[in-house]
Amino acid sequence: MTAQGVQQVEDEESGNTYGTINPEALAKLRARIGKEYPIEEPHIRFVNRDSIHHAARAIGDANPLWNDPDYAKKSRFGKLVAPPALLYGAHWGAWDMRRGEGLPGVHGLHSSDHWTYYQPVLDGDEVHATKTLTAADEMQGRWAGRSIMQKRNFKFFNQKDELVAVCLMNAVRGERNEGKSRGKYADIKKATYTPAEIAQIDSEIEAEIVRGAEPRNWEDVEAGEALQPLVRGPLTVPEMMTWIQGIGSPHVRSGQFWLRYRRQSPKVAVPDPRTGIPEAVERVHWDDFMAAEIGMPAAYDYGSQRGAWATHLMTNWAGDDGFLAELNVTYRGMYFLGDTLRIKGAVTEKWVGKKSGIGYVDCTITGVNQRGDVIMPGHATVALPSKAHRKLQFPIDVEADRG
Amino acid sequence: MTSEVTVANPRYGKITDEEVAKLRGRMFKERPIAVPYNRVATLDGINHYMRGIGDTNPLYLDEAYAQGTRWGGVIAPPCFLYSVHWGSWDLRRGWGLPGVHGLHNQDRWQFFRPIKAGAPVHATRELVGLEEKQGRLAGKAFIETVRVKFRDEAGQMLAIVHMSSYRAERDAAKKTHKYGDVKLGHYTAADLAKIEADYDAEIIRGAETRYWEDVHEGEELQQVVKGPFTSADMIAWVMGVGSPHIRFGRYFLDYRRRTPAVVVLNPETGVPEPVERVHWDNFMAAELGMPAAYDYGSHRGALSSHLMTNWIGDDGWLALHDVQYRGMVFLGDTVWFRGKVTRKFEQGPNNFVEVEIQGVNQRSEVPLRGRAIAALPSRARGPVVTPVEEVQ
Repeated sequence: MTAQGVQQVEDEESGNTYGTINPEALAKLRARIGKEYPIEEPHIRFVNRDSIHHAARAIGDANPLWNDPDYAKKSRFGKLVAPPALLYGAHWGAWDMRRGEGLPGVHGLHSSDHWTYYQPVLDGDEVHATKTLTAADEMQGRWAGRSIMQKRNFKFFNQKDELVAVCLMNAVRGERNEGKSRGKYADIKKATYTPAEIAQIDSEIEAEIVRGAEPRNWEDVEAGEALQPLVRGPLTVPEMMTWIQGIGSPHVRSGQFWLRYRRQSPKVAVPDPRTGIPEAVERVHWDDFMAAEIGMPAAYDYGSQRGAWATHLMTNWAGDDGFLAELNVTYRGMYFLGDTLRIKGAVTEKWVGKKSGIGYVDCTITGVNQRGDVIMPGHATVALPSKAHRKLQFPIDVEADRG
Repeated sequence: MTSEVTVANPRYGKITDEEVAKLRGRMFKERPIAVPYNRVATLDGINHYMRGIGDTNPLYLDEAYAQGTRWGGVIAPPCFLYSVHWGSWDLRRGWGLPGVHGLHNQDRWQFFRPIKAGAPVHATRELVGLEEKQGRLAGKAFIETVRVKFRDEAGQMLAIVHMSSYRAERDAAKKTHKYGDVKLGHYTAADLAKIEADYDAEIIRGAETRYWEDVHEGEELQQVVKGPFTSADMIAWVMGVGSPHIRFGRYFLDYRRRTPAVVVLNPETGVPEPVERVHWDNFMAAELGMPAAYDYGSHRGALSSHLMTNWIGDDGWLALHDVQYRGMVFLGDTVWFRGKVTRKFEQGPNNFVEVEIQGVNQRSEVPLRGRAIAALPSRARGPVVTPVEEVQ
C-alpha cells in the first residue's frame, strides 16, 4: 500500500504499475459525494471572438452565428453567440475538474453527457462552473469487468451568476490491466479508404446544412422528419488537437506545469518504455502505444468531442432562432483513429411547454461508425419559434415545461 | 542511389523559376493578418500561451500579483505574439512554392510597448527577403523572410518580427539523409532526476528589481531547461498559439481544396493529413529524411525568451530577441537554454544589456543560437521608459 491507499500491480509487458479499484480508494472517493466544488482553472473563462472561434474550429462548425461578427450582429442576439460546445472549455478542459476524482491510475472512459441549457452564452460573457460528485456505483462492464460508474453534476453560470447550463457527466473507471487482458476491441482492424471513399465523405461534409437565419418554425416540423446528418472523420490526430485547442486538455501540460502536475498526481504519467520519458496517459488519444496498454487497437476519440458534435447536429438544424434545450448522449463502444462517424437525427415528438407555452421538438440522435456500430445513441430537445412565441424568451426551462 | 528513395507523395512541390518569380512579385506588399488565432490578449489567451511554453511567471498569470507591479496588471509575455501571426490561418497565404517544405530558421523580434491584458492586437505581414541558398538539407533552396508588424488599437507599433524560413524540396531532403544517424533521446531515472533538478533550479527574478548597474559583462544567466519533448509539448504549444494547418471538418475540407499541397495522403490508411504532422508523428518526418518528429521553430524561439523574462524580472523589458534555429530538436530531446551578458550600453533614456543565447541539447549540439537585448532599470536614471526605442 502506498500513502494514497492504492495497491500496485505490475504489468508484465510495459513494466508500468497502474492503479486498482480497492475498498480504501473507493471509500475515499465516496466520501466526496454531494460536495460542490468550484472549478478554478478552466480553459475558458472569457467568452469572446477568439474563444468562440476556437470552440467552433474545435468541432469543425463553420456556422456564421459563431464565426462572423457582422452576420451575428443582425441576429436576434446582436452579437456573436457561443456554440453550446464551448462550455466543455469551462469544465472538461479545466485543469482542476479531475481533482478529487479518486482511484488514481484507474483508467476513465467518458460514457455519457446529459446537458440542459437554460440560456445562450454570448460574446463578452464570463462563465464559471461548479462540480459535484453524485455517485460512484459498482458495475460490470465488458471492457474491464468490475468497474465504477462515476457520476458528476456540473453547473455553469455567467457573470451575473445566472444558471446557463447543467451537465450530468458519467465516466466508467476500469483497471487498465483488466481492459488489456480482456481485449474486447483487440481484433478491430484499422480503417483504410480509397480516394472514392474520401470523396464520398467530402461530399457529405459539403451537404451539411446550416439553417441559420431562416427560422425553423415549430408548426412546420413533423414527427418522423429526418435531420440533415453530420459526418466526422476519418478521425486523425489533428482532430484531437483542434478539439483541445478550443476546449483545453486536462493533462496536456508542458515544462514547469507538467513537472508540478506529475509530482502532485504521479499516476497521470506513464513512462514510455522506449525512451523512459514520463508521458501523459492522455496520449491514448493520439498514439497507439498507450491505447494498447488498455487493450485498444488504436488511439481513440475524446467522449466529450462526440457529445460536442451532437450539439453541432442540433444547432445546424435548429437555426439561429431555435435553442438546444437538452441533449443526452451516451458514448458507447469506441471511435478509433481512422474511423468515420455519421451522426443522424430524427424528430420523434412535438409538444408545448406546460409552463411557458413554448413549442418543443424531441429528436433521437444516432452516431454510427463505418463498421455499422452505433457508438452514440441519444436524444435532444429543441425549443423552436412558433406563432405564439416568435422570439424565444430566456431562461428556458425544459424540465419545468415537461411538468 | 535515387532509386532507393521512395516518397509517399510523388507530387511534392518543386522550386521552379516561375514560382520564384511569382514570389518576388509579392515582395513588400503589406497585408493584414485577417484570421489570427488571438485577436485580443485576454487573460485566457495569455494563460494558454504560458502553458504552451511551460512558464509559471506570475507577472503574466496572476492578476493580483501583477497589479502590484509597475505595469498595474497582467501584461502579455513578449512572445505571446506568436499567437497573433504564427498561429494564424493566413500568415502563409501568398508564401508561394506550394508543396516545397519550409523549416523555420530565424526569428528577430523587436518589442516596443507593453500589451495589457484585454488589449486587441492587429498584425500585418509582408515578404521582405528571398535569398537563394546552397542547401544544408537539400539541393536548391531559398531563405524566405517575412516581416510582421504588430500594432495596437491606436495604430502604435507594439512589436516587429522578421521571420525566416528555409524552403527546400522534400525529395531532395530525403535523399541527403543528413539526420539519419542521430541518436534519439533515451533517459534513465537518474537522467530524469537531473533534468527535474534543473527545472527546480530555475529562478524567476520577479519583483526583485535587477538594476543595470548590478549586471556585469561575462555574467551568466540562470539556465532554463525544456523537455524531454513529447507530442504533448507540441500540442500544448499549438493550444497556446494556434496552428497554421490543424483544421477540422468543413474548415479542413475548404483548406485542402484551396491549397491541395498542404495535405499528404497517409499511405497506410488513404486519409489526407496535414504536412504539419512532422511535429507529432514519425511518418511524415521520415518523408524529409528525419529520424523522428521534430519541434516547431517558433516554439524554440518562445522557449528561449523564457530564459530572458526569468532573468530580467518584472521591471526589465525585452527589447530585442534574435534567435536562429539550427539543426533539429527531435521529440525525446532535451534543451538547456543558457545566456551570458556580452555588452552593456546606454541609448536614449534607457540602459541596456546584451545577452548571448544558446540552446544546447543532450547530444551537446546547439540547435539555437542568438542574442537578446534587454532594457533594465537604472539606479541612476530610473525605471525603463516605454516605448523602448529600437536597439541594434
